[in-house]
Amino acid sequence: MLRYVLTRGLRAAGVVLGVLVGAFILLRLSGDPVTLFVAEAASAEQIASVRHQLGLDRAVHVQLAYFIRRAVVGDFGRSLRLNAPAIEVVVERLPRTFALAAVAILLAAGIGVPLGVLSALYRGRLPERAAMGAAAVGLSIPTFWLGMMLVIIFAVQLRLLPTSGLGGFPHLILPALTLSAYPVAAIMRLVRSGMLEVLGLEFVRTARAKGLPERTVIFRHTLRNAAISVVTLLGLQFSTLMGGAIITETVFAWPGVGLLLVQSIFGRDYAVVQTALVLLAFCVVLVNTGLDLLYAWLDPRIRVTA
Amino acid sequence: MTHASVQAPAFGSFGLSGPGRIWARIRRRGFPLLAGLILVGIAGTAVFAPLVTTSHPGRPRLQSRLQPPSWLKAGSTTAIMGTDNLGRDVWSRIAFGARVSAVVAVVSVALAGTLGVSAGVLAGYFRGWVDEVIMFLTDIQLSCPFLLLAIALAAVLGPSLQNAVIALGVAAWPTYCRIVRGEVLSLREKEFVEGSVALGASHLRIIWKDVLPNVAGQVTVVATLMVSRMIVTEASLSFLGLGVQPPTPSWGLMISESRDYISVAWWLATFPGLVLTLTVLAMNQAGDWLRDRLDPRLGRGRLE
Repeated sequence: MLRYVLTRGLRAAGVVLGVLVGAFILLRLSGDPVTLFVAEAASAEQIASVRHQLGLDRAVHVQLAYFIRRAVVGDFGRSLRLNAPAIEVVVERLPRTFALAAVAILLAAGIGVPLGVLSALYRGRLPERAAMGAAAVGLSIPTFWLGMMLVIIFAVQLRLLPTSGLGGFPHLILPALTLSAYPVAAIMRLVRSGMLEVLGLEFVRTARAKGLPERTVIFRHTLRNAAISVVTLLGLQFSTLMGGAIITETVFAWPGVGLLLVQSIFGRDYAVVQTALVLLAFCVVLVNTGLDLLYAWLDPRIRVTA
Repeated sequence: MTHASVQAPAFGSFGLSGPGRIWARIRRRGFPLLAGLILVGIAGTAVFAPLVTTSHPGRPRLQSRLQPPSWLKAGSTTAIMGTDNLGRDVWSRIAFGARVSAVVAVVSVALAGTLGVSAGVLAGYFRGWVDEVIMFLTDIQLSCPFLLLAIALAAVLGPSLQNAVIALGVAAWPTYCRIVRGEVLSLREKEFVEGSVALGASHLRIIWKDVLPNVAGQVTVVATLMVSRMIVTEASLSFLGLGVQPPTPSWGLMISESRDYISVAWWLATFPGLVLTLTVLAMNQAGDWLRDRLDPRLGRGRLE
């Protein structure tokens, strides 16, 4: 197990390092950083001095090494727009994005699992068709459009909920619903197919033959087996969820990392863009590695093959 | 829609004609046919956009700003889906916007496919360190959310239609790469490939004649499922202001521009979004159908 933890951790560290190099390259592609720091009318000497201050006159690999060394200790430079360390600006927003994502996941499990169970039990009949139709729409509907439609219906027409911004729980409802549409649909499909697979197996037949009540068969025996794949899916969905959060936060002016990222792109605040990119990718790597380790702990076979 | 693929092939519907016949077929064949009809309709709209619209998508008419759809009271007399804040015909912009979506979908899927299939074939065919380097690159890229990566690339390259297509193509290659690599790894062990090696065929010839034709089916399936993802992501980029720039009509951009009028003109966001959703839905159904047909092993969710 220790060996597996080490190799898996080493690979995760390698990926994070790769993300850092990628972020460095991306920023260099976006143009000469000096233009952000000096006035347009600056003289050649002024530009050269700023260039020297920023270390841009050194070889690229030296700059990269310097960037990585600073990044490891959390120093990503300063936000020019907000005049604060970039890392602080981003970390401050992270809890809001996580809150949104957490409520969306809870909603997704709360809606997706029961509907998935229902469509497995009513296979080929109306409930299944309706649920699977809804799932197909949920997987296809663009996040930003769904968000706007919810605003038009619930905020503008019915005046039940606030349109956007940060506030109490009511402010969280529409964004979380918007963000949960995709995972709801994915979970629904997965629970359905997971249950259908197990419902035909021996141990379920045995359970029924023993005369156990149908409710016990479904909840104790079948659903528990489908639950493992749901947890797997949630891990895989985390990355998609972070992408969706960027859009959702923009639609609802929810001040999380996603909105910050979009605003920083348009404000040419590249230190923040870089930090947000690296931190979001870091979270995804962390979650996926954590899940891998969890599976290895649950299922010893994985440790041997990996 | 797995139930559709196991049904018997449809025979002609005798005694029915016109719409009745089409409906009978849809009922028997299920949703793939309906999805196909929707896609044909949208492709037709894109190609014949000037013929199916009555006014130019970019022509502003300030005297008829924000008019509701024509079937409503006080609705526009000419614009069936109403007009936008500059008096432009919403339907006309949707029809011409279909061209943008179609171009983005085709070019970015082809770009991602070319990159991904090349990398996947290299990794699976040559194995060893080539494989490890390429797989490590996909690992890194897949740890970044797809949309986040597309946003970052589009932001760095500068917002435009062309750069959005490049960003999408570059962001999506690992998906093809992983699937193709796995397939090539197993093809490499097949006897007909070993036979070619024994006959002294060059690597290039083996890849071209033996490997590529055998991954074509899976690549087609992935590409079909990828199209809808590209369309949505382009719309998302345009919505954020990082894709298609005004005044070019694009569905994502139309929805973005409607945000300021959300409380007075619901039709501005509703119709482009409906068409967008319908397109993606139809494309997803077509992809699922094709997967069930061509490659049942490629289970649902492999593309996530």
